[in-house]
Amino acid sequence: MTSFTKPTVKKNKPSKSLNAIEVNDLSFAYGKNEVLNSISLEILRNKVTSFIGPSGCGKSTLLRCFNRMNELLENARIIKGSVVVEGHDIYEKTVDPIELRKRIGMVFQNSNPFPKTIYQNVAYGLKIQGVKSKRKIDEIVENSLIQAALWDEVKDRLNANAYELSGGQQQRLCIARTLAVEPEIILMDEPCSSLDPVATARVEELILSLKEQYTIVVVTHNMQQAGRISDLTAFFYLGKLIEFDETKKIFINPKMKQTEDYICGKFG
Amino acid sequence: MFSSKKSFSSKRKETWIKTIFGSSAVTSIIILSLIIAFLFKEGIGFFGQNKSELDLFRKSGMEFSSLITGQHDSQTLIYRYLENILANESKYAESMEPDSSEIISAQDRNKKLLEFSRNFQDIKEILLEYEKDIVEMAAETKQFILIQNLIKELRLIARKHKLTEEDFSISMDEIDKRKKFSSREIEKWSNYFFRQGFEDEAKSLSALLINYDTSLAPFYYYDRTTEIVESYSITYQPLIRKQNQEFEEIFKNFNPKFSLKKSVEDFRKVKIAFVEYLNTTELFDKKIKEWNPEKPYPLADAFSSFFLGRDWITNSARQDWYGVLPLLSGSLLITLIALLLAVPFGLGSAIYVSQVANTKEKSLIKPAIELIASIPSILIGFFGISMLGGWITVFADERLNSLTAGCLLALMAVPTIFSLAEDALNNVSLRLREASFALGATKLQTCLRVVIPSALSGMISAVLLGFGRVIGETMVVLLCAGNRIAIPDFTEGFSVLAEPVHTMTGIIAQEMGEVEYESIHYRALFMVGIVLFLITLGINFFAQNLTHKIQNK
Repeated sequence: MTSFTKPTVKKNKPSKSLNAIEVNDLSFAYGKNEVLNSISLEILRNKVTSFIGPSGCGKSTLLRCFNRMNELLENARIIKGSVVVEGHDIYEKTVDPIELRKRIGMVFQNSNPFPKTIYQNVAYGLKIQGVKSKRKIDEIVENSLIQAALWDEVKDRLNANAYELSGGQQQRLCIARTLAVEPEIILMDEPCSSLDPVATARVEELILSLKEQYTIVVVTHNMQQAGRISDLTAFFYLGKLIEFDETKKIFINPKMKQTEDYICGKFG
Repeated sequence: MFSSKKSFSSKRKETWIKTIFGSSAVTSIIILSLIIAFLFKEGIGFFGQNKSELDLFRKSGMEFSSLITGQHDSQTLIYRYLENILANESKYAESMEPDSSEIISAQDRNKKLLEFSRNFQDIKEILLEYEKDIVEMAAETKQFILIQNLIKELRLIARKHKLTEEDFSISMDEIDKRKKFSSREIEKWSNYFFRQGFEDEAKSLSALLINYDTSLAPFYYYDRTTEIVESYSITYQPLIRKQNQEFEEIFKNFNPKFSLKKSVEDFRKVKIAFVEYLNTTELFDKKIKEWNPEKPYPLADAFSSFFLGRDWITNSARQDWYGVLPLLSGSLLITLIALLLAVPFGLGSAIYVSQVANTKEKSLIKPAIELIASIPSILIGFFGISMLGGWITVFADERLNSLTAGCLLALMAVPTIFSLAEDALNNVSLRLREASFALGATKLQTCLRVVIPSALSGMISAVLLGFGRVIGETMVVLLCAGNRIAIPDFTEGFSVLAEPVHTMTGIIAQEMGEVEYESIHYRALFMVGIVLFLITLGINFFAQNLTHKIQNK
């Protein structure tokens, strides 16, 4: 496994834990506005973890802390705590966010393919990494599209503009684009929020099939979706982690009152 | 709750607002169409006038004289070569030591060369003399034809108002057949119109007599076309034969020696040019022989002499020419220079500000660039004349030339290109940039591979609008382009960038104030305006199309 720290110092690798990501007492703020408050949780390897909670509870922010995407916003800062991925604190100065993001892929709320062809979209991540071999790129593009269950639909029109695809296809293309870089962890920020039920079902199927190879974290507003696809579920409210447990337990027998209220639709 | 009265008044309010905004939109459209209609109405008449000018040019014999001028010009060209050699040789002789034997022989050689070139000039002059005679005859004929046309017009007026004939009994056919009009006749007709109460017509006739005392002797306006035609065989042919003989003779008797090697080579070129000239005399001969004053100009020439015309000569004693090419090429050259400079600066700073700069840098750079747009162009022109012109003389002979104007226009185009390109770059969705970052792209990669390709059409339209801004600019080019009406010599390589030129906008600003209303010159300037308008219209149309394309994406 390649390291994403800048100087590739061979450290004694910690015994391979089950945790893909560990969040330790993390507080995070935009300017003076604290949006995450002392969060601690572990994301398990090869599991699907859902983050649920009402809008503004900080679940997307936490997701963006995992691949340091929040750095692109001005005034974003970590107040305390750490995020540890594969034994490294990713907010250490030696960590190159560029390398980190190659290892932790991200799929966004609205499908956002580049205004390029289908092929170029999937090949983008490889091209910026400097992969030159056309054969290798072709191979990875095909594999990624197969993995994303899109290959059969687009194999005859790889050179068509990505905007010609339907919304659901575009989102799967975005997933294929992420897979092409061969990440270990995939973060998904409400991946189905703008899709119709049929397209949503296809993406959910896809997530379940990807679970075997990847660790997946999904932010969702859709409680049923969290129930269908995730092994673990974390409920956030006002920047705090209220409850984090196996999905079944959360939905059938939540420990906290707030969780129960939210799941039952008393607020949202 | 919702009283009908309230909703009625709010509806009326809406109608009012609609009317106010709608009417201002309509007004601007009406004004635009008025401008276009007016521009074309004034400009299109040019071609009719140009056609009659060209017909007059032929009928009067001025065309004949210009054919001969052409032949004389090619002789002058050879003479220039000779003068050039002489200048080089004398310069070299001056650098020798005084009173040495070498310098004496060099001076002797130069004397012979001088004598030769004098002889050449003398022979050449014969043709010039002949040409002067022709111009004189042509000028008289031109005057005659103008009077003939005036009388025809008056005849029509008299017929229209059913005036009694008495003194003005000349018929249309007779006017056409006449070869001269006497001043007494004209005076008689003028008095006739005066008696009939047509004062303007009477004055237009009496104006022809202003410098002439009609009581002395009869003065005639002649049609000398026949003389001009006849002069071909009577004068021109023997003259050219004699001239060529004499040229050949002096060349035969002149075996020059030169101090400089270059001069030997140059003189060889002179000889070649002379042989070429001899070969073309037949061509000149043919053209002059075939000249026919009765053959009207093809209408197409009225158009091509403007759109493809290489000369813009006004207020000439012989013939005015209104060719747009020197102005168009001057404008395009300056625009090209300006864009070559402004595009990298404008786009580069737009990319920097929108993609790289932090808030503090943005707050410094943006207002600074936008401030440039607020400088009045006349002040930029001052800067060009006083400062830039001086710096330019490092590369160029003259202070004011296309490079000076181009640099200043680049300065003026940068804000336009910058603002529009920056907008286009900022309009690239954050989602696309995030997607790129999430795949592990650096800022630079994201910028080059995602942001710029997505904003490309917007950036191209920014450049096109910059083009429109530059080609339509007037004050700076009028002050700093050098205002020499000539097609830039593109064979000169890079030094073409520093030639003084004139522009379409400049010529309109310069000459419009002085032309006579509705004269051909006035209309020609409007035609230049139309060409300019069509160019900027096309560019803007193209740019808007591109902008729409990006917005629909």
